[in-house]
Amino acid sequence: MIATLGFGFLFLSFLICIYAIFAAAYGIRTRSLVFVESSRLAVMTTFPLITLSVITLFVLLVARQYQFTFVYRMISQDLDPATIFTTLWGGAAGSVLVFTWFCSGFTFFSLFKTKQKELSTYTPWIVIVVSVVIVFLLFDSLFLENPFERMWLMSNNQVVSAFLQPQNSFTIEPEAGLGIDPIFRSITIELFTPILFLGFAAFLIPFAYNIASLVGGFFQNDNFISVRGWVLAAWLLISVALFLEFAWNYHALGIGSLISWSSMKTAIFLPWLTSLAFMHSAMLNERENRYRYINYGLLAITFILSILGVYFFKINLYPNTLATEPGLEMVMFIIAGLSFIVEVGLLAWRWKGLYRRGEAQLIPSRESFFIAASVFLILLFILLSAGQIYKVGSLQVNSPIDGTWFKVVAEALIAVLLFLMGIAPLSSWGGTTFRPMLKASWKPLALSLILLMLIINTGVKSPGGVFALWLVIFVLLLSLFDLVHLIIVQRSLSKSAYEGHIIPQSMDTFSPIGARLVHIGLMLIIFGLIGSNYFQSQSSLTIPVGQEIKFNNFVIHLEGIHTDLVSEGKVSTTAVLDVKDTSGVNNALLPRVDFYPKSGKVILVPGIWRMIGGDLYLVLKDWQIENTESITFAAYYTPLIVWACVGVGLLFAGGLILLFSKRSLLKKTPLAISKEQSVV
Amino acid sequence: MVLTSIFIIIAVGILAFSIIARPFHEGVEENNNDLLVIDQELAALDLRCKTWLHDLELEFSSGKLDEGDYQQQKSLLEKEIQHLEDRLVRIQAEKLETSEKELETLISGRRMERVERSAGFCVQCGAPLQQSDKFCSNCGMKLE
Repeated sequence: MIATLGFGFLFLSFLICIYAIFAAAYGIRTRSLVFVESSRLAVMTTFPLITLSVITLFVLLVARQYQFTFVYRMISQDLDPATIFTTLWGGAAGSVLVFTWFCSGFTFFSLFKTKQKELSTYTPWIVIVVSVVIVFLLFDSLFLENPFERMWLMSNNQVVSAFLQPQNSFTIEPEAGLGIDPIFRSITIELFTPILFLGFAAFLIPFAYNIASLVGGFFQNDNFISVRGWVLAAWLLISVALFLEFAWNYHALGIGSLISWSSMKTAIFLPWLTSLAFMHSAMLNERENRYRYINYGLLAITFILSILGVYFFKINLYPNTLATEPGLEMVMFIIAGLSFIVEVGLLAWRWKGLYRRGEAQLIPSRESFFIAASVFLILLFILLSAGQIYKVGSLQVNSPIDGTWFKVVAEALIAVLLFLMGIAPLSSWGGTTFRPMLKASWKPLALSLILLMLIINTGVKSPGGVFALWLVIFVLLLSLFDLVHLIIVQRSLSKSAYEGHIIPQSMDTFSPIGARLVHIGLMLIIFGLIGSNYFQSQSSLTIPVGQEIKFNNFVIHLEGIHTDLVSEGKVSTTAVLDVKDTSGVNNALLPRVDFYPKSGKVILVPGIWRMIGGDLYLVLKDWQIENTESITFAAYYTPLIVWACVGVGLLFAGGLILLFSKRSLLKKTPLAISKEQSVV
Repeated sequence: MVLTSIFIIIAVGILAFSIIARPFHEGVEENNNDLLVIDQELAALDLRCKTWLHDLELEFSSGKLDEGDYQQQKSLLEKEIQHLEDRLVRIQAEKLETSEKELETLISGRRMERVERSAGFCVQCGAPLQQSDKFCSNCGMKLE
């Protein structure tokens, strides 16, 4: 009954979405506000209906109804009850449903407080765009990857999966399920998927506004301000998701490093880059009303990449549990392809209205730095895309970043972007001289050179690493000095300074601070990653029980090896290691191997000693359950890695300040449209 | 069980349909108030210019901007803000005039609906009075 309800609610949503498309189109055609309003309400009702469907799927998972294919694949007897919720997005069927749910949720909230004037202008086109996307996703969930399908035993003893019972088949009631791959039973990867999907889904709304404004010819500056909040929120979510994924690699895969690039990470990183380029370009547009075509293009590319990102994410993350049927591939490529064709067509049609000639930007004005930042972000995006295509075409390079050429060019582009992040805040809008920038730079430069000498004195040998460290320290100091100076100046601008001016005294002062915190956060992340990339030391060590060994500045003593049957499904072998550093500080590390006999999976859980200077990371390797006399493990010392975590925190805090400050990007500015521009 | 599920789905479908069909019963009020939109648009532009002026003050106080550039940009922004505020004041006045006219229309419509005995004429302006009037509807003089 529950599965029938779940399927029924989805089917109802599918029909209502189709109605919404036709009602909105008819409303535009006949200039009828009644049909437009009806279509708006229709697309909004899909959210509660899909929510009900998600709840029914969750009930099936919790109730361990193994006769359903999705439940059978995701749930096993030994699965921790707290993990059951996360299996909702564990496989293709569930994850597409969750993604659709997020899309409909964002649609609901964006259309909830539609202003009257928008009903006759933007709303019908927004309804059409979001409804088309949701219809395709619902089609996939209903007819291609249905999470409510049951398993049936055919007369030839074959097991098939279908919603309706096939002829000459019998019901199956398995007593237990396969369960989600143990490697994904980690809090970081469990949170990673929904946060990533929230970020990708949030790009749907700006894209819908994009299409609406191109179709209707609404080219006012306000358009990008209205959607910039959505793009910022989506970008923040993707940033957190990227960090969680790196953290999962570090904690669950036993690779000893935060950096392990893959095509999936590229697929997530690409929309992150284009949305960042859009936010910089949109700020320029706000001031000067130019480069609108670039903004429209970037918004569309970001949305297309987020749709493709959902697909690439699934085929890379869950190659075994994912049913890589042509369903998901077909739906995602159709949505992406249609979006691309429509966007290119609209941009070509509206080119005359979008393109505006202007004067060349003065250097070093903030405008020129914003343009440069957007250009280099787009170049980095092109490089990574080319690397992804090259990898797909040649099947020789494992990842675009591993290849030497790509690595060098990517690092050069990142270095330029880092430099721009540091010096752009020192310029001003419409500014023309280098003098104030040089004046603000000499102290951080001097300090960074002193620190550079200290670093070189420690015996560091990698020239690339030393340069990278110096650059990050320099721009970090530039930003910190600028931030402190900004706070001091804001406080010193007393009440009397506003008398005679017309600036409201309640003017928000936090937005510039939020923006600088985001920059500082990014710099700290790069600072942390430099340690992984250039200065990591590693070794493979074997210690007999009771013996000790030296690694870097640490003495590692093996106290013992324990094997425990933790639960019905898991056997854990733990090495108890006592580690001492040069200052005499002790720490106990417990790297272990979790073996799942049923699936044959082995998870390497590292023992990590976190210090401000770096992490000592020990992970067992060449593990044999019978061996209780000695262990072999891989040891890594990665300097500076904890600063990447601090950077993520600052980036997120700065982003929240930007989102919720008084100049909040979330506040919709009233759309400047005249009655003549109404489409209805 | 399947039948129960189908009935529940149909019930939910009817509920959804009633929400979707609501505009056909209640209609949708057309807002022809261009003045309101222009008012909001100008207020947003005004706030944005003030924000830029605030940023300009910050940048000058931080030493990022030369005196000449600062004065030039400040003058341009202040002119723009003044221009916007003048337009806002004019629109507010237009709105007030429009709403006063609408109010007058409403009052005279209500008076025409009321059928009452005549109570003579106003001693000040000569406008006809009705039994229930406490003030003259034309000049506003208080009646005893």
